[in-house]
Amino acid sequence: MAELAFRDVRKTYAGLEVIHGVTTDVTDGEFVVIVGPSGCGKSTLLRMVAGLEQITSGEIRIGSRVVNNLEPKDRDIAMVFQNYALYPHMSVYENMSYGLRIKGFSRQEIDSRVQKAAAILELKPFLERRPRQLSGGQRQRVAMGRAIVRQPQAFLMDEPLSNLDAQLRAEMRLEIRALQRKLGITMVYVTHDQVEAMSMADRVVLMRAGRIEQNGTPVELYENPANTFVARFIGTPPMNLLRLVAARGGAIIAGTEGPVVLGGRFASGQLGVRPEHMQLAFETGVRAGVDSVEYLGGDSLVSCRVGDQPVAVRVAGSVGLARGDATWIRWAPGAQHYFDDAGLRTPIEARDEPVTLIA
Amino acid sequence: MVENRPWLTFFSHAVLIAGVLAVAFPLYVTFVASTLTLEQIMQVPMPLIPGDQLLQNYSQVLGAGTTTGSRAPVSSMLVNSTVMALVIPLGKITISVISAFALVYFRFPLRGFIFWMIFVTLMLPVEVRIIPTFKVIADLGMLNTYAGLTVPLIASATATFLFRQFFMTVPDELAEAARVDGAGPMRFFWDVLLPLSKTTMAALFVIQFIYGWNQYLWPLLITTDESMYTAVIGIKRMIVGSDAANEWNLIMATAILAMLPPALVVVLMQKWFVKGLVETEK
Repeated sequence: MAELAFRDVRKTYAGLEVIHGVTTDVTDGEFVVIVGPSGCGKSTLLRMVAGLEQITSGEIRIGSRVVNNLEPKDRDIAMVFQNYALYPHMSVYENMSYGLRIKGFSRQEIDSRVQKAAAILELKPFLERRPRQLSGGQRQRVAMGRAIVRQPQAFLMDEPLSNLDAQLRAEMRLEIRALQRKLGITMVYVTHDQVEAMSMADRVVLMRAGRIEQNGTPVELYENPANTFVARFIGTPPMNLLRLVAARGGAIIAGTEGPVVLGGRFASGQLGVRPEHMQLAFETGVRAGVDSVEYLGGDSLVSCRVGDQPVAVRVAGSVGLARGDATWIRWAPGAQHYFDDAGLRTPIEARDEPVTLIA
Repeated sequence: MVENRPWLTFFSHAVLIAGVLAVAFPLYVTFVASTLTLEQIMQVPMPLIPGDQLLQNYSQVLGAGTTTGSRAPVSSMLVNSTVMALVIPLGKITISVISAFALVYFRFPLRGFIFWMIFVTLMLPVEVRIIPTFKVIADLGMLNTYAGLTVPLIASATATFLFRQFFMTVPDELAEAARVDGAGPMRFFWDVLLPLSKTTMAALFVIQFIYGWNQYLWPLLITTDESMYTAVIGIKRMIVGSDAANEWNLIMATAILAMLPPALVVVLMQKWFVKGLVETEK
């Protein structure tokens, strides 16, 4: 296993730049998830590491080697594709050993590696089957096995779980993560699903339109989102963003009559509060009208309107509210994020926050 | 459509049976005629019960041939037909699969133009270009040779097009996975694409075997030597002059013999043939 380095990596298609200079590192044995909405360039970036796309400018290093001009086979990486790309006419054993056979490994070496990988992935009973005779989860494992047997410097995974049903996806998340820890794999994992990113990653690289929006641990992204895009992308439902206006004594939420939520210097820009940090209250906090209530079992999602701005509140259990009801919302001062006019997060100091909203 | 209407069932079966009879009756007459003596055939009406000349007629055509028109034994015609019907599909498949591979997986100048050139030749059947083709083959001294019989019919836009369409449905990720696994283009072609194309090739083989076996106009033009006659041409050459001058019992025996190999290929390869047309292993 080795570390990866990206230095101002750019990609241009027919004069149109789609990756605008990505610089980041993946340390040895680290699980990095590249996440972002579709079309953000995350898959392109991964394919550039694999050597399936040319790097227009910049530099990608695997270990100590610059791999810009190396063929995929010489980069010492393994890739797991979204549709697994198993060879349909080969058995599981042949699928896993194909790369090794091409590289000219001895029969015993191939067999011992395949058997070992099959044991780890619990594929031993299926070695003679064709991919067509396997379930989605098993195919996924074969694709993993094909990567493992090569003992590469790094694993690249392109949305490997998106073809599985929700339950299996949750299981495979844990499995892949456990496997990565056990084998000490350096992993770059691309997904559009922020839940996968948050639950699996050591570090998340959040991309939008060919740029890195934020690069940090899942906790950092959740607690200190760099801007409104990150704030809205991470977390379900996304963070509530509320426009602020100046009022006597500080800033209040636009369209309300108070209370004051932040100091006067925050009077323009947006206030961010996560739905799970909000509570419903009675005659304290901000007035809100209920739009709809979604009961999810463990908790309920209450969609409200504060002034003319939509707000989602997540509360435990069920609530006795219905469309048209009036209620109050409050939250702890520490739960507040402030984003300036450009959408960038500005730290709030304790003295900027009034105590009136304390839950 | 699942409906239970007895009259409809009866009617549809009646139509089907009538259809089968219409198709099968001439075949039956051919067979009966091939087991009779020439005198029996010339009776009016011709008997419709098989006679006792089966072995006699068949061994004569296979061994010696007819005495009027063509004098070549049918066994040599069958060999010629077999060579033609095997070389054409095998050649077609080999060339088409390679050119389709080049068209789909390689980027080279004028790729689109070349594809359209190949595609346009679909509109020019053998018959349209038969005179210039004949001239070329004659100038090359390939009249009355196996090469002359087969080479002009090998190039095939249809098969190239078929393989191109099939290759385009193979997911790109498969080629990429092979690249990551370290397989070069030819290795990918050999280890992945060809095995995946097996059923398509089988279907094409069946169609082209029959196409090759049934060739009429082209062998008629370029074979003047009796030893190079194919079975289909042999039948034509056996028929000379007036009705009464022909050995119809022997001609019918030849016709039956000429019908058997294609039927056999279809029956034996039916499973593969259907697979190739309806399912792809991806």
